[in-house]
Amino acid sequence: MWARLRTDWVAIFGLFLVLLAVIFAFCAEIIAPYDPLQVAMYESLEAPSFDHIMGTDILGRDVFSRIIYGARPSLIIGVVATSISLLIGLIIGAIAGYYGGWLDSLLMRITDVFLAFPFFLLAIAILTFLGTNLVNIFIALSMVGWTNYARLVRGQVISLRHRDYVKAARSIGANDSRIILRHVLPNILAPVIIYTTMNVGVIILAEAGLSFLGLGVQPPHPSWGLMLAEGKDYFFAASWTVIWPGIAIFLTVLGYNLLGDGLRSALDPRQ
Amino acid sequence: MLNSKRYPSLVIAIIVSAALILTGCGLTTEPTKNTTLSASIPVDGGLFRFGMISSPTALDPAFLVEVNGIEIAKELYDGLIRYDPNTLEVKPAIAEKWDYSADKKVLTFHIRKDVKFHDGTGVNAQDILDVWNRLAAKATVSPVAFPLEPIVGFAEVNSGAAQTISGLKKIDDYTIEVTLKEKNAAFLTSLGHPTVSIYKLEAAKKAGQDFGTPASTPETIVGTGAFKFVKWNSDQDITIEKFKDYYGTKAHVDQVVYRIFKDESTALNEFRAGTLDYVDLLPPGQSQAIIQEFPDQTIKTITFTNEFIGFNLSKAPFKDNVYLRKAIAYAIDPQSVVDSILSGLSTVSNGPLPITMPGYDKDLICPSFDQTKAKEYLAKAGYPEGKGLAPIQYAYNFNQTNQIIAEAFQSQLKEVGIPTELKSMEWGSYINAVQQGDTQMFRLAWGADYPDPDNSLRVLYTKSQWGMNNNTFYSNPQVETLMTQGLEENDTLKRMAIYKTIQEKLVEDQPAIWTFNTTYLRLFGKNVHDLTISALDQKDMRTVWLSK
Amino acid sequence: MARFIIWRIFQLIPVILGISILTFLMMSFVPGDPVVLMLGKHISPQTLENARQGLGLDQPLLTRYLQYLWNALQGDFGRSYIQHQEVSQMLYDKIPVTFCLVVVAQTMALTLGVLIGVLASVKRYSFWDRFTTFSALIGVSMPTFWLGMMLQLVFGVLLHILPVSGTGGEGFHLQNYILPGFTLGFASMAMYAQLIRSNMIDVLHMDYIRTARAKGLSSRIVVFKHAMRNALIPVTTQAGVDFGSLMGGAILTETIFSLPGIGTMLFNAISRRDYPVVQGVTLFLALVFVLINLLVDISYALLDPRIRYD
Repeated sequence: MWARLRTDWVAIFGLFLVLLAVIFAFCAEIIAPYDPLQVAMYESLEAPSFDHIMGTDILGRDVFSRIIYGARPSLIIGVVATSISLLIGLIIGAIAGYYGGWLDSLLMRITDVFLAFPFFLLAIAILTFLGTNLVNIFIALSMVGWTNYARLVRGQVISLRHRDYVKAARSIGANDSRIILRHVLPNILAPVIIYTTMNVGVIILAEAGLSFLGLGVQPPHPSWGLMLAEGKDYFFAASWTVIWPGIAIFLTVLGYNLLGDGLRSALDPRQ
Repeated sequence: MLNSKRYPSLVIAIIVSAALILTGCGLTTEPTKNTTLSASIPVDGGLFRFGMISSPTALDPAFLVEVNGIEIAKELYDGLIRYDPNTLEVKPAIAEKWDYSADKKVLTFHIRKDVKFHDGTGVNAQDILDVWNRLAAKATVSPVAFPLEPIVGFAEVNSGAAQTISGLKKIDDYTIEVTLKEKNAAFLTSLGHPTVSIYKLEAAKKAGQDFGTPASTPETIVGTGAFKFVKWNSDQDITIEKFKDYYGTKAHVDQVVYRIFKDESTALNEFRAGTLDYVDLLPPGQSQAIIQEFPDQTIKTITFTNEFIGFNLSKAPFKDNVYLRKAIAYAIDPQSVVDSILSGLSTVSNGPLPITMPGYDKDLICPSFDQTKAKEYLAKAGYPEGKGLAPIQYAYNFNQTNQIIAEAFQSQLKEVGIPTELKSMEWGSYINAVQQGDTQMFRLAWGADYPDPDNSLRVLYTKSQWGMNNNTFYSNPQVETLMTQGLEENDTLKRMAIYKTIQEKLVEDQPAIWTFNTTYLRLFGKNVHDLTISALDQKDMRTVWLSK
Repeated sequence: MARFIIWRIFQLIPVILGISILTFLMMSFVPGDPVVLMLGKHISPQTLENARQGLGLDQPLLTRYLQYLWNALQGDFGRSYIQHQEVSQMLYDKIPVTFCLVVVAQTMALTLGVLIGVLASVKRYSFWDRFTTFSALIGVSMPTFWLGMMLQLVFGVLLHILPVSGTGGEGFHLQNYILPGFTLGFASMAMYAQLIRSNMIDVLHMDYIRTARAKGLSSRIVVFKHAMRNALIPVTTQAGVDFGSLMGGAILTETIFSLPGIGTMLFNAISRRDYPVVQGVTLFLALVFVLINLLVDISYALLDPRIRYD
């Protein structure tokens, strides 16, 4: 797989973007030129210069340093919320697909309810009910993300259900959970991995949207979505407060998507 | 289609704002006028195009809970009294005069005989009684029946036990007698609020629940004001026109159209395109650029709204620790926020009363930014250099400006060693948490409904409003007594002396830090004259006129 | 076939009921008292009690839900606590804005997406082909509202070609919907291009296309008349499915461009705890969503004989 991936320069570029964000997140203290929380009220909205290469925000904080620190919440939320959605989606999708019948119908109608429900209503309800903090942001975003996994996994499991090796395992008396874990899941791993990679990007975008509505990461700790939201009112006068965090989100999400796409080509047996 | 030819001024504005940004935001230009007073003789006629930001929620006087509804309603309906648009003094309106009984508890209003509804029929005492009884009725569920509360028998009607307010009597067709439960010096002034203004109840009843909604028609909204209702296109515009048989000074303009915008930028662009005569709110952070772009065309109004940071006195760490509250009051620097974040467009408060409110004490000494004193008080509070002080939760309802201000204050508090933790909430859960006493330090604002200091102080700092409007859970028996005295004192000078003492006591106890006095910048066209905007933030459409 | 359709419609009922129950529960568990938010600052124990009774909020949850359901079945969705207007009237006023936005977005996304996708498939492995794949990924990687702000800056403020925000007043003004439409449709455009590319590649290898070519038909006719028509079916159904989710997902675009659509209406209603409006909007959105899905399923069933009606 790696051999295939290695020759795909687009995927490598994606990997590079993801790694860049990871490095930002881990080594923020070393890379960032300023304290991202250092307020300087009378240096507010300074245009990019040698001192502040990406300018300053409304409170005079260094935009570049905030971008670097902002990688942390974005990556953490992306990875954790994706993992939770993956887990819920795997369980529900596998059960629905494997057992079929009324259980399938029931689980899929529940999935439909969640799919038809406006995302932000769900997120707002969860975040106002539980309060806005990192853990609840994970929960809110996972509530939205799991439906796609459930559908994906269910489809895959249905296509495997009637395969000979599954029938064989069943005929020798293996119990259902064993069949699902040992025989079904390993065989649907490839599409799940691809989807997971890309889903991290989707979650990062959703978190930015939540921040924009005031439901994301709590200030003053910078997140890219929060920076966009705080720059919004000064956008026409000080566009750098909005352009840079947007580019940061864009490149990171693009990185995950390029990587996912590369994995798709590398794992797809047809190519 | 927009093009740059039609918008040369926009280009200039952008260049100007870009230049402003490049040079920092230090430039401050004072707006030029408080009113657009003009020496020339008013011209009648024309259409006044009013750019309004966000739609009124209702035009039913019983549901006037927000400024835009009040703005339009006060043109449609007249009350017994009105405020002078400049000084906010009480002036006669539907009532031509009134007198108090010896014990000051009974107020007799003499109604003008020439007041007409918009359908041409005359107004008499019974019309007024009917409208007020409807406002007070339980079934009406009015959120703004408050001006009638001091009247004997109001509570019975409001709880559904009675149909008519017993303290409200018709002496003859043009005389009304109002009996108050206690002496109340603010009662008369409160009658200037449009919620108690007069409309034709029969007509309103025809509309049923649609009264005062966008489904209204000129047949259902039949008021008494200088303008009558024409139409309301939901979320687009509301049109009113001059009432020719108005008893008072008739309006100059023929029609006013309130065009409703969702955001300030769109309204400003329309103004630049010449399709508006007036813009009610301007985009945040652009005020300096706008003042430069339109010299002599802006009005700055300091309103009756005071923003404050309240301390929850019902629990730690602020309970019984006035020094900690003082330390915070000295540690924050609202002026720096006004200068940078609010680009000059706000006024730093000095105490619990808005600067424009009658009774405001300009000599009041409030804690102001002083880090040395902040540290002193922090030590006195038992936390020298912040040692032992757990992070204080600072809550605010989410919007960009509140959030950025909170971050600014947080960093200023950190400089003297006071750790804080920000908590942003959306309005619904925020107000719930604040009222339940679940917060420690919170941001709120209070806008007075009528020009009387009682309205800015009693609900916020007396025990009867705990968990409703008094969310600091402040109570000081001395202050409570003074508040009652203030309300019962009919001699203005003595009364204002009482409020002076109350302000001093409040500053001493510091249940809150009064941060900003909300200030607005308004933009009007070159041909607009005699536009007055009161501290109540009301724009008088009767005086305004347009030159050709 | 008729049985299949009836069975599918029958299956919608629990989904719609589920959504209304979920909304009801959610709104009543979220902290924040609608009565306090409706009354504003003038509150006293008596006004609170009056309002609670007046709105029927003193009733138990189940009673309120059944009452709501009963009224809704008769077409009465209640009145807004804040605006006092009928919810159905409010929806009627706001739906056109969101509808226009989504239609413009989808039209742009489909037209541009199909164009790019077809080009890519015809010139496989060319620059265009790479460009499609890449632009598809770019499209789904961009924060919608950020893209919107960038477009406002470039086309509205710097070039003055298009209005920055607003609906442009009464009636439909296309120029006001171009930037928001592009913002909302950008991600879908990229996905449609990708989708049509892979479908075209599949179709172009089918026997009937080879036959057509063998018959000597010009390449242009083969591509546009025969191949594209077939490759379009899955894209249009996808566009149909997306239509429903875009109606509810337009909130950020509506916010950025100050469009008074149902997204902003829902957001405001949630923050004011205006229960009837929240209920009305979610029900409407859910209905649109499930109905479009139903139509898509039925059309699939009609077009693809391999699908069994079970």
